Amino acid sequence: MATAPARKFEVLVNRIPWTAAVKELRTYFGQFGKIKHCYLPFDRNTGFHKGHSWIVFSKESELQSALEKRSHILDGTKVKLLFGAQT
Amino acid sequence: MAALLRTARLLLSHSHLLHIPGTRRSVPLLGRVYSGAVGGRRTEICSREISRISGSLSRNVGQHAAALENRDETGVWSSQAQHFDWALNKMDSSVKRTGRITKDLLLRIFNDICRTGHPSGNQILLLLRSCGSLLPEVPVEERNKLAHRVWDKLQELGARFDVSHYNALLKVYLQNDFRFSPTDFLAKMEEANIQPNRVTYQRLIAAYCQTGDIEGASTILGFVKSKNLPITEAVFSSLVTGHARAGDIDSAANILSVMRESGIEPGPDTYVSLLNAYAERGDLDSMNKTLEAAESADCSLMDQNILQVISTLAKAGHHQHIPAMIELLRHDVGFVPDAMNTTLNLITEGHEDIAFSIIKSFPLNEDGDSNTGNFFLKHCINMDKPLEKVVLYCKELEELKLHSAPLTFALLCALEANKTAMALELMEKLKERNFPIRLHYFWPLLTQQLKENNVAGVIEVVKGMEKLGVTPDQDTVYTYILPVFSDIEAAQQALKNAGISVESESLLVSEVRTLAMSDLAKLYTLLSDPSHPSLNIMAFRGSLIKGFKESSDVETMVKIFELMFTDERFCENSNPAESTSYLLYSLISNMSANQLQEQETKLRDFFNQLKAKNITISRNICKGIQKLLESSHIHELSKDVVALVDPSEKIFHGVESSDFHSQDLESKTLEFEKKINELKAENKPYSHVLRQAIWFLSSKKDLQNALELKLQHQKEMTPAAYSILISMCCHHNNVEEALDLKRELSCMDSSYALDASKSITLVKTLIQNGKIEEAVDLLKEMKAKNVELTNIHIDSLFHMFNLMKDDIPTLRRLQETIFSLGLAKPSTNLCSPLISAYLSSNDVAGALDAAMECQTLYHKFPLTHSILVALVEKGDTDLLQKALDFISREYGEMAMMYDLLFVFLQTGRYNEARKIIKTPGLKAKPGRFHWFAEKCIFNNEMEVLEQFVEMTGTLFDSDRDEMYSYIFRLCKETNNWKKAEAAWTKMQEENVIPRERTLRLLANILKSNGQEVPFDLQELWHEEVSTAQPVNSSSDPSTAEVSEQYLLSLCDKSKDREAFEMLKVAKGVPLSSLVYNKVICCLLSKGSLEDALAVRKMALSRIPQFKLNRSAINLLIITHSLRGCGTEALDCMKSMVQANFKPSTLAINRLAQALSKAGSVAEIEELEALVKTFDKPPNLSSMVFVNNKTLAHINNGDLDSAVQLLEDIYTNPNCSHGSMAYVFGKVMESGNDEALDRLSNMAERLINHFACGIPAADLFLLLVNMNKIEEAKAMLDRCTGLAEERRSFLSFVANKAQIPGEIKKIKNLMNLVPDFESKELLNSYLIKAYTVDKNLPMAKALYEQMMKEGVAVNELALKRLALLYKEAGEDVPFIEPPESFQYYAKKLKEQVRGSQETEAE
Repeated sequence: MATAPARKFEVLVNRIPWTAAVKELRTYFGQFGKIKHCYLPFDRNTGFHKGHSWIVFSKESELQSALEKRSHILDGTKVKLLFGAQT
Repeated sequence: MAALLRTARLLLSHSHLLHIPGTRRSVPLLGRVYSGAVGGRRTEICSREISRISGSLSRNVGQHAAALENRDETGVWSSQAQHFDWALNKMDSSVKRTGRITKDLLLRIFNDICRTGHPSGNQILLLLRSCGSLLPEVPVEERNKLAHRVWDKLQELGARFDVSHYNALLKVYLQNDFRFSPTDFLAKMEEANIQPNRVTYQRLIAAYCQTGDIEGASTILGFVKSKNLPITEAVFSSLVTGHARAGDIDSAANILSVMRESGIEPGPDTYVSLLNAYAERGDLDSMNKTLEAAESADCSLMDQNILQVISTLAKAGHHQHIPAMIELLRHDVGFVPDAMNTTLNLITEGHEDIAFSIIKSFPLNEDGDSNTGNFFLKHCINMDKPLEKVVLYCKELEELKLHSAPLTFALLCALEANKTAMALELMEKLKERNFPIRLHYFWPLLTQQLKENNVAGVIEVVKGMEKLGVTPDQDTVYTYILPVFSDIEAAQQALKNAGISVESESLLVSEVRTLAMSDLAKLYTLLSDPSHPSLNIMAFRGSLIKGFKESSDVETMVKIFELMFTDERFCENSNPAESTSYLLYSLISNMSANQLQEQETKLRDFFNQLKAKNITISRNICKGIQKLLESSHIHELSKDVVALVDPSEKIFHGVESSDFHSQDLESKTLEFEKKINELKAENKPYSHVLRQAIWFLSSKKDLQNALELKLQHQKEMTPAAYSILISMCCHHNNVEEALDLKRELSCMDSSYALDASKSITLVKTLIQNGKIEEAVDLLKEMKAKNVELTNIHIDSLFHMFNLMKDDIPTLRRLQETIFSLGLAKPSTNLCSPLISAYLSSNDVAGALDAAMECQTLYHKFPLTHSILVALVEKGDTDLLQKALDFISREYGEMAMMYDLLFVFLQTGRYNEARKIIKTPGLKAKPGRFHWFAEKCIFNNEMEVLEQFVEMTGTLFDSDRDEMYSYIFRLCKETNNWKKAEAAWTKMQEENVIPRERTLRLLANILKSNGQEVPFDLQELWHEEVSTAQPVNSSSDPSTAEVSEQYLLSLCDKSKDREAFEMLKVAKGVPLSSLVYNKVICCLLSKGSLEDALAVRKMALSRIPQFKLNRSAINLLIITHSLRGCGTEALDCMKSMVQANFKPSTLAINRLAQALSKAGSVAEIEELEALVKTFDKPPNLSSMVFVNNKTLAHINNGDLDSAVQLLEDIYTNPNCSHGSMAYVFGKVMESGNDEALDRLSNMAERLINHFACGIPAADLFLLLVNMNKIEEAKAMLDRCTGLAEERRSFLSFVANKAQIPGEIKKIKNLMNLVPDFESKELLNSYLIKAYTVDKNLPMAKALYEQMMKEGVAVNELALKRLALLYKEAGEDVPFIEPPESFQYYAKKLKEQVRGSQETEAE
């Protein structure tokens, strides 16, 4: 598969609780900077999202400050940030 | 595995409300028990009649390992075995986590097993076994139905039932409280010609007792006695239940003393039966007394026992006594799964309040992440318990801090179960508590309605939304609401009629999306209207792309693009130009290669018009698009895209084409002398040639000449040349010369560091020659120069230590030096030589002190077991106490308990061991248990092993199949079939499901002793070949009875012809799809394509909906491919993927090969795209498609494309680079010299200019393999970096070492590239190769040489060597490593991996 044009300041958020959707993600991660893009795939078969989302910040410093925070809690659930896995 | 296999104990007598008046007396029964009990379980298995047949232990171990390897052979049955393991693991992990199996999971596995065809014995057992109390969420009536459905269906599929299956069915009956007639059951078994065994009788007695039929039970007991079978505790505890149910509670209580009189101490099972009997009567006093009695008999009841009693009380309606029982729960290990199982069952039976009271007793979760009760809430929702109750439970869970958000979780359950009304009500409750109600909460509900195409359902949900104050947005309307209606107007109308107002924007988006896909011109008119509200392009991007792809109206497309590019209404928060260029990228990436090719002209036109409108894209986007175009082979369009790049951004596009055709390398000559003299005469530096010369001499082991050369050209000596010489001296054990050279080297360049291997070799040489001070100095120098040791070096240190056993002080000194310098981390392994040095000098106290010192200094306690055993055997209680206190302090009491357990077992102190097992909180430790069991097997300690296996039965998480398989393995070693058979009966009693490999092992033992195998076992294909019988004349198709069973058995025996003939005559006989599929598979595996297709035709004419199964399609693809019909095979694969079957890796490979032979690049790409659609990619080498595409190009005569393709892959840092040896091999095979020239030029170019050595190494190794040594040598000279391709070399060596007669090639490689790996590793492969060749003399010579040179021999190599000695009937001249082959292989692998990682760093 060809990769999309360099999406540099992107982070993959895992284990998102079912109660949170794009709006909640944007609000939460908005505290670190401007969110350029937030993609949260939903399962067309069940109507629930798949639990992971790609979030693109507009600046590297914003991404860094998100990564620097030790834990991220969304709706009372710890979500996991993955960055830099070259896959 | 344990959880699934363990629950046997859970299923004792079940409680009943049924009361049978106690009129029947049972005096004769008691009499029977007195004389009938021949001993307890323990005495029975402790019997010392183990016939010790001393066989060659290690040979058998080897065979076992070989048998395991053989499992990898392809074949339907082995894949089924894998599938079974998968299913078993899945179900087991479910039981372990949750105490249960869900019905969904069970049914899925059942259907899977049915689909794959002929179910194997343990699969049947697995299915049957799961229809009982492992399904607490399913009412018992349904469970019984399920069990019968499984039984009947499997019988239909041709399953052959054995006694273990009947026993499992009985267990399910008992668990499900199913009323049946034991006599009928026995008759049924007799009819099927199955002999009941001890376990069968035991369960039939239990069945009679459940109904209180003592008379029936005593009849069976009569059988048991007459057959001289032992009466076990299980029988007695059934009798307790039986008497109680018959209304005679006194006789029930009296059974305990009867037991004692017959020599069996009542265990937990018996006490629980009695407790249940009192519980059914609601007699709390007697219950307490029984509990006290159990306590004082040192028989403590576990939580699961108490939970059973609670269930009994609940079902008998004596709810007032339950709190007292709940207080008794200790929340031990394993409590949670047991409690889950019990609670779920209580809910199913309508006792949710009692279930909740158990939940409330759960311990609080410490780490704050509380979600206790999830399963409880979920089951309540699934069982449609009243909402008010659920809400109350939620409230209480939250107040007790057991759950942080129970109501939200309940909502999730309702949504998942698609319970619309309940979900809406729960949202209402959440809203009352000020929880936000989010739009996407409704999506699961809407999704379900959409699936059912239920307009009213959708309206109902939307109404619910409105009631809760939630407005559907664009996405919701477009994705989840509109599709149920015929068009937008209908939707608007319906919603209006229902009194629902939908925001205008949502409908607007829907309109835009619809227009984008149908009428671009209209869309442009709509959007370009300045009054049109702003709308994020993301909301309709997908539709727009779809519309663009299908439209040919380039002009409008450009207009829309321009609009998007300039108008800020269509992008939120970002630059419109940027989001538009993304749109362009998405458009291209959404088109397949075919579409791009078809629309090339249109796209060119489009790009050019965009350019005319001054629309620009960034360089990055351009690059991305170029990549997409290139991967679809539309290079032409690239230019047009590049033209769009913003001129302010400088671009470099395309591949820089300089340097591609490199000049020919000057060939170097091996005549070093001449060269040196030449250079010298010219007054030029020649140190590099000198080094090469020394290196060359080193490879020839010519120390003398090398030293001379050094003396002659002292001035040109480099540190690297010195290090080669030093290493040479070490190999010749010339310590003085080595030291001199080392000194010279230090004078010359004091900062130069010898590498780790050479340093360690020098250290060893120094020690062997008694130069301890020098060795210590060298170690210090290594530290100062930061020489890093990898695991391989550390292993050689270990061997060095082991050789120093006689000199404890020196050993100590070296060990301390190495650790304190930090050269190696102190490990248990590295510390152990010192301890064993003490132990072998019989100084146990010294050993203990040394070990304790290790612990204090390095936190390692080496050889714990050996030290403790030595202490126990010596009887030194003070020292033992000291050791145990120490271990307990350092590692915790639990760890010490395991140590002690093993020591007691080892020294035959079983009673003490049993006491250890009873320690609360002790659970199975697979790693440590494996270690101990392997030790027993190795040392042929059957009694110890049996005791060990029996004792661990009650432990939480004990993998029973694994434990029993250790016994079988030892039975196999000692050829003791009686012991093996007894163990099999015990497995049934414990309700353990054996894995395939365990059954196979057992069958082997029985068969090799001429015993009948009492169960059905699928034969592996490779076994069949060897045992295939000549065609039997009695199986004439005209006379033999045509039956599914018979046909299947013919297929199993690979008698494809007979099966085919029989099918042809069997016109009138109804046969299942399975049979046809099996015959087709059988024919295909023999290559009979036409006949197979004829059978398919036959099947279709008799079963219209007939479909090939997965194995059959795979074989069909392979057969087509082998016949060169790639297109047919590809079609098969396409239809297979459409039918949601995943093709096998072999089928994909064969197909790719067939297509490359036909030169069909496009079809290979199609196949590649097809494979990429799988959810889970198959286990396929990344190079399969690249290699085959290359070959396809070559077969088409298009060498340019072939080279281009490979160069792109190997120069692209983002691609994984695999081996292309396959391509070289095929090209050589076909004798295509032109292609070979081009490819080898390419390989050399890649290695010399791009530092990518894989292709060159592939070619080089191929030359070595073909014994073209001169050519290989020439190549080595031409390619400077080639000698660095160690990984490729090593895998070549590893591969060749397995093939008999290939050792010459390994040696050739080692001569060409000396020392590319450590001597130890290479030599160990040589030893392996010698073993494979059964060449003891050469192996001996190598071993002696290694000893002389002081090269460590790793354990695996030693083990192999020992085997070779033994097979030749010679004594092994060294101590054979004690563990198994597998153990050492694994250890070595980890070391190699470890060292590779350190290198990578």
